[in-house]
Amino acid sequence: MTDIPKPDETGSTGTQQTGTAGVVSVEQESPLQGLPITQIVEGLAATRSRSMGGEVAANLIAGSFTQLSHNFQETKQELQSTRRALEHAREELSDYKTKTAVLQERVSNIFRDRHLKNLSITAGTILIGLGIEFYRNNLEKTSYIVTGLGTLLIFLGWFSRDGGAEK
Amino acid sequence: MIVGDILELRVSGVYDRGIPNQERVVLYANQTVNLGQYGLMVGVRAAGNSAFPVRDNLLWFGDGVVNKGDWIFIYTGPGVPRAITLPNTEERLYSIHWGRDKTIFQHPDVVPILFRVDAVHVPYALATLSQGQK
Repeated sequence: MTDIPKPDETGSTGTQQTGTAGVVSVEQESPLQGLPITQIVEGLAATRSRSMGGEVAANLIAGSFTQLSHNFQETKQELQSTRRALEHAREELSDYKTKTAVLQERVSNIFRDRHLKNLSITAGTILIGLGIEFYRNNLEKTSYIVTGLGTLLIFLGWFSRDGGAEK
Repeated sequence: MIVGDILELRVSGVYDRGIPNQERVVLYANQTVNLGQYGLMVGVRAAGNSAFPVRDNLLWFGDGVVNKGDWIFIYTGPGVPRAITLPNTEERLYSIHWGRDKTIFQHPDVVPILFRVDAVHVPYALATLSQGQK
């Protein structure tokens, strides 16, 4: 994917402020409430009540449709919020899986790293010992190199971090 | 409501959410189009790739032709429109300002909805017409 360009001059006046933190509340249904069938039945009950078995029967039928429509809309909204929660949970699960994989890798690396550290410290100590011996035998240049190398190895052993990413 | 996808423009994303004067919706032109047919709404994310529009939140881009490869930055704050050519390319970057006093997209579930207008109707001033005919 192409990188987003960064303009030097945005043209903004700089007077904008941060908005409210909460999500905007909206009615997640059409402003024309209810299902089409409910609207039709309500319309029929209002205008052709006699054809629907009288005023009482027509109102009962219209009321039932409205109730069912209301229940249906509610269920739809619940389903939507459940889906959102599920999606959120999935994202979290994915994050934790990644973390677990990283941690597992770090644990498996710890033993290998520890052996390397110990080896490095041991080798460093031996080299420093050799360096001292070389110095005693008037091999100054060699002793400095060997001692320096030994010191470097010891420091590497002390201060090298355990493997694996931070996260 | 089921409508077709918009393929000629792509919403690249919302950048610097909640940061005053920097919050912007970034669009990329996949082909030459007249922006006069398009606009943005603010919506709340719903299931899948859908969103519900928030009432009274609409920006019409205004007439202007953009070419393939051009970028359109819609800053939510106030400002002056700008158009620059990107270095070493022929791509242009257009900056449009919504003019909102406060940032809009600080919550990740608030999303931009790009829409295309295919038909409109403006009622005639009937009273004026009848006066003119007299």
